[in-house]
Amino acid sequence: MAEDKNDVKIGVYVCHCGSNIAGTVDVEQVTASAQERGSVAVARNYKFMCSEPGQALIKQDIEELGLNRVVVAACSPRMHEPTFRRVVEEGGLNPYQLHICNIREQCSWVHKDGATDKAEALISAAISRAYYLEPLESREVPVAPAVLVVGGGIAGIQAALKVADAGRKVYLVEREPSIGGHMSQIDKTFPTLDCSACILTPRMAAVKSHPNIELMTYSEVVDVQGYVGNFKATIRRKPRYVDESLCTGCGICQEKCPWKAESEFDCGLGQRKAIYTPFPQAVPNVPVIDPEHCVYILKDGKCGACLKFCERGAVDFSQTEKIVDVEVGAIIMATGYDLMDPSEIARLGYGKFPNVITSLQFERLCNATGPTGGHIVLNGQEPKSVGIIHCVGSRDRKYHSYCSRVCCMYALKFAHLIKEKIEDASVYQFYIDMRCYGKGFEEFFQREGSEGVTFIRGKPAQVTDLALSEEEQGKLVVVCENTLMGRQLRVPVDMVVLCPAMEARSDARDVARLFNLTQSADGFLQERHAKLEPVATANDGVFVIGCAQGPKDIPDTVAQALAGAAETLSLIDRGSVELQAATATVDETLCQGCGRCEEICVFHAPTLSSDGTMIPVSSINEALCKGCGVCAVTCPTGAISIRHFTRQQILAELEALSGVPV
Amino acid sequence: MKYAYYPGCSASGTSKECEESLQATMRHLGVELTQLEDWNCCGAAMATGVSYLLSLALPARNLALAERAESDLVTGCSRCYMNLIRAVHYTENNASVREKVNVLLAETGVQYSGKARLRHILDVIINDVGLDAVAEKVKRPLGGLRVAPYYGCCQGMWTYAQFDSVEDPHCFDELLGTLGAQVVDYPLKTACCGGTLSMSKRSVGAKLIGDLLAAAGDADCIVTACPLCMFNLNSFQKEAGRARSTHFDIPILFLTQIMGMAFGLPEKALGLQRNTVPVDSLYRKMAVGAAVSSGAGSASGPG
Amino acid sequence: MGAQPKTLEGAWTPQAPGHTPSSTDLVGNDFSLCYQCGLCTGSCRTAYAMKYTPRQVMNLLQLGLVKEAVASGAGLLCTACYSCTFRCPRGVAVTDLMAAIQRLSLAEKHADPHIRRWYQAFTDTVARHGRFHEVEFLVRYYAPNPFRLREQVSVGLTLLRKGKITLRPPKMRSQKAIAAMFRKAAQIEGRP
Repeated sequence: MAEDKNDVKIGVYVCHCGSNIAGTVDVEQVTASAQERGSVAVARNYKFMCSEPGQALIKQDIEELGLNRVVVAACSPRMHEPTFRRVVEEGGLNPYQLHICNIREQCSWVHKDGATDKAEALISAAISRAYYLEPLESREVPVAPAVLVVGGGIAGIQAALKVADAGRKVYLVEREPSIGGHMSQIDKTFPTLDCSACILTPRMAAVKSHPNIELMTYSEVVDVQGYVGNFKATIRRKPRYVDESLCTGCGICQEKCPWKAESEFDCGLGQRKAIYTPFPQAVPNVPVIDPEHCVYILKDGKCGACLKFCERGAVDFSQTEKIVDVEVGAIIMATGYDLMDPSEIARLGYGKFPNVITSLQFERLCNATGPTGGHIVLNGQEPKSVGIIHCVGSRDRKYHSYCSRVCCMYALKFAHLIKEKIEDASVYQFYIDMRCYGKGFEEFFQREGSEGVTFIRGKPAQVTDLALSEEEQGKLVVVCENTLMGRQLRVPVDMVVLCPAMEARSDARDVARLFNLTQSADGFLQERHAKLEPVATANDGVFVIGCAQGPKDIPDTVAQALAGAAETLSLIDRGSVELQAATATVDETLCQGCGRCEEICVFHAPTLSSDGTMIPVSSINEALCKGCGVCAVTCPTGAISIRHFTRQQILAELEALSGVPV
Repeated sequence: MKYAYYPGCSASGTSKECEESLQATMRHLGVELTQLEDWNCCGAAMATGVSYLLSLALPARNLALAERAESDLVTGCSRCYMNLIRAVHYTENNASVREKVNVLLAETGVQYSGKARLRHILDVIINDVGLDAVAEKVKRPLGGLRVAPYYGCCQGMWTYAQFDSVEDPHCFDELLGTLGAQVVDYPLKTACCGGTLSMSKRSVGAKLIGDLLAAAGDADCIVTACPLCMFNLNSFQKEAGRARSTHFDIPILFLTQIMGMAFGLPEKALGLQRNTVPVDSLYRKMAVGAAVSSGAGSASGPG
Repeated sequence: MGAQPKTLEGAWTPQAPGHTPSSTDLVGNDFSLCYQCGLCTGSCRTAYAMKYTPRQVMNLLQLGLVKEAVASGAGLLCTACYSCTFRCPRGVAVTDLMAAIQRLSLAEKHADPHIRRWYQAFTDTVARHGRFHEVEFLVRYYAPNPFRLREQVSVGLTLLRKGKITLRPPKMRSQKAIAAMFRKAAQIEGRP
C-alpha cells in the first residue's frame, strides 16, 4: 500500500479522435506540455486511442516503461472508461489507476477558441489527480437465482414465462384480481386482427400451470430493499375473502350475489357483482369480494348469499391481508399504462354527451365478453355513423407532447370492426398524420381505405349537439377544418370514439420511488439508454418493459418483455455481480454518530451501529453504495470520503486547474 | 373592498347601461370603485392593427396609473380587460419589450413596473364578494327565469384559467343560479360575437350574432358578461334575423343589470330603458315564477 | 423562398413594405412549430369568410410567402378571441401572428380602403383625445363618402334614442401626451 511517491510513473495518451479533437485542439502542443510535468514518464498522441493499436500502445508502455498510472485524454468516460480499464488491467495494472480526461465533449466539441489552452489545463489537472490514485479492489456478490415480475399484463406474462422456461424461479405480482392487463380488454389486435383473448389466454393459462412461476394476484409490492443480485421485496396480498384452494370457479356466487357495482373492466359501461371475477377467462379463476360494495362486509353480516350457495365453502370472510417477503436477484417492472381521461378536454364532450366514448370503452362494446355481447350498441342504439378522433391529449403541449403510437392503428382497426358489424355504417377518421410505421401496418391502412372509410385531415375543434341543419338534428356534430381543402367542415355522426393519450400510471411517481427508478419527462419509467439499453434502468438489476416504459403496441411490448427476460437471465446465469469500487468509506475516528449520512442516502447504504464503539458509528454497505458522494459532503466532520474521489485527489485537480496551491 | 376602476371608452357611450348598472350594483354590494384618474383608451380592437408597441403601451399606461394609485385595477369591459391583461403577460417575462413600452410611456410621464394587479368584474363578484354575499342581497329572486349565460370570448383564457375552466366555465352559471335564474345549457357560451365586425364587416358580424341568438333556443333572455357582446346582441337582431330569414326578439341583459333586477334596484338605475329589446316581459315572468314558487301547491293563480 | 421570418416581437411592426422581421419568442411560439393540424381554423368563428384560413396563413409564413399572406388580407377578419392560440397543441401564437400580418396588410397601399380608413379613423380619434369618441370616429370614417353613412342609420338612431351617444368629445388631462406617444411609436417603428 505504502507506495513511494517518487516512483510514480504516469503515461499520458492524448487521442486525436480523428478530427473530433485534433480539429480544434493542438494535440502536439498539448502532448509536449504534458511531457514536461514531473512524474510523467511518457506522453503520446494518437489518432484513435480506443482502437487496437491505440490500446496496444498503452499496454506496451506499461510493460516497457514500468508505468503505474495512465491518463487517457479523449472522449467522455461514459464512452470508453470500461474499455481502457480493461486495457490497463491487461497491461498488469489495477484498473482504478486509470484516469480519463474528457477533452472532447467538454472541450473540443464546445469551444472554438481557447480549446487547446483548456485541454492543456484539463490534462494537467488529470495528471495531478492520477498521481494520487490508489489501486482498488472490486468485489463480487452472488446473485439470488429468482426474478420478481411486477405487473401481469402481456409484458409481465411473457417475461415471466421466458425466465421460468429457463428453469428459474419467478414471482409474478399483479394488483388486479386477474392477470391479463389491458390486452384482456381488447377485442381484436392490429394489424392481423387476431382475437386478443385467443392469443393471450393460453399464455395466462401457462403462467398458472408453470411449476416455476409463483403467481400472486390481488397483491402489491409495498417495499423493496437491497441491491442488484440481492433484492428483498415485501408483497402485500389483499384478502379475496375466497379460498383459492377450495374455489372451483363455478361462478354460482356471482350469479346469486344481489349487489352490483360499476365494472372497472368494462370501463364503466357495464356492471359486475360485489363478488366477481373481472372477466370470464380470468386467471386465477377465483373471484374476489369487493369490500366497498359487499353488504355482508358493509353491514356486518347482512346478506351472505355467496356463503350460502358456495358448495365448496370457499367463501371466507375471516381472511386478512398477508405479507410475503421474497428474495430475488432481479426485478422486472411491467406495470403498464393508464388511458388519459378526456373529460379535461371539455370541447370534445366526453362526460357531457353519452355517445362520446373512449377507445377502451369501444373495445368493450366490440368484445363478446363486454356489456353488449360484442354488439356495437350504445345507449340502446346502433350507430349508423361513427367519428373517430385521433390525438386526444397526445401531441399536445397542453396535455402530453408525445405521440401515443398505437392510436392511428387501432383507429383503423375500429373502422374495420364497425364496417364488419354494422351494415352500411359510415366511418370518419379525424387525423393529423397517419402513423402506420410497423410491419404490415401500411398494408392495413391501405385495406381500410379500400373498405370505404373516410379520412379527414383535421384536428376537431369541437363535438357539439347544436344542430345547424336538418341533417344535424339529433346527432353529434364534429367540427373541424378539412385541411386538405382549406374549408371548415361539420360532420354529423351518431357516435364519437376518442383516442386518448396513453399515459404513465397515476402512481408512477410512487412506484419509481419505491423501486428507486427515474421517470422520463413524460412520466413513464425511464430506461438507462434510449438506444443501447432500452430495458435497463438507473437502478442496477431492475428492468422496465412494455408500456411502463412508454406507449407501444403488443409486438414491441413482447420484444421488450423478452429483452427483460434475457437481461435477468444473463444476470442470474453470471452467478455474481461486480460491485463498483468507488464507494464511500468512514474514518471511524472522526465519526460523531450524528446520523446525517444515514438520513440523506437514498440507497440506504450507511447505517449507524454501536458494535464495540462508545458512540454509534457509521459504516457503509458497499454493495448498496453508488459512490455519489452526498454523504461525504453532508458529513460535518469530514469522516466520510469516497474512494477514487478522495479529497487529496480532487484538491490536486483543482490546484492544477486554478494555479492556486490548495 | 376598494378598487381602482377602469371604465373603458364605451362605458359613456354605447355601453352606458352596462356602466350604470355596474356602478349601481357594486355600490349595493359595498364594493368601492374609484375611477382611475386620467385613464386612456386601451386600444380596443384597433391598436393591434396599427402598432404592436402601441397595443401594449396604451393599456400599460393605465396599469402604470393603477400602480401609482397603489390599487388593484378592475374593469367591467371584457375587451379592455383583455388588452390590459395582454400588456401584463406580454411584458412579464420579456424585458426588452417592457423596455420599449416604457420608452413610449415616458412620453406621458409614467413607467410600468409589472406589479399592477388586474381583475375582471365577474372575477371580483365571484371571488371577492362571494356568492353568499350576493345571495343575501337578492330581494326579488328571478323566479326560474330561463337565462342563457353568455360568457363571451375575451376574458376566458386569462381569467377562468385561474378559478374555473376556460373551455367550459361555470362561474357565471352559478352566479345566475344564486339570483334565482334557471340557467339553460348554452352551447355557444364562449363563442365570439364578432366584436367590431358588426360595424366593419356587417355580413360576417350578422352571421355570428345570428348564430348566438339562435342557439339560445327558448331561453327567456341572454345575459352577457361583456358590454361589446351586449351591444352586438342588442343592436343587430334585425340584421341577424334578415340574414337567416328569421326574426329575433330576445331580451339581452348585462350581468350587472340582471343582478340589479334580482336585488330589486330601480329600472332607471340599471339603465334598463336603454336596452334595445324591452325587458318588461322578463319582469312579468319573474313575478309569475316567484308566485309559483311561493304558492307551491295552492290552486290559485299567480298573484 | 428567401429569408424566413421567424418572429413575433414588434419585428413586424415597422410597417414599411419590404421590412425584414427578426426573431423572439413571446407568449407563444412562432409559426415554425405549426404542424398544420387545423385546430385553429376549426375553432375560428370567422374563418369561413377568409381567403386563407389561419392554418393556411401559418403555412404561407412557414414557406416565407409573407407577401401572399399580406396581399390576401389575412388577419382582417380576426376578432382576437384567442381560441386558436389557447387550443394550439404546439403553442403557436396564431392570434398575434394574424395581427402582425394585419398590420402589414393595412400598411399596404392597395389594401381594402374602407378597412384602412376604419383603423386610421380610430387611431386619429384616440390620438387626438386620448379616448375613443364614436361620433368623431364615424365622421372621420365616413367623411370621404358620406352616403355610406346610411348603413349605420338604424343602429345610430336607436342609440340616439336610448341616450347612448355622447356628442361631447371626451376630455382627459394627458391628451397631448397620448398624442406624443402615438408619434413616438410611429417614429420607433419607422411608420409614416
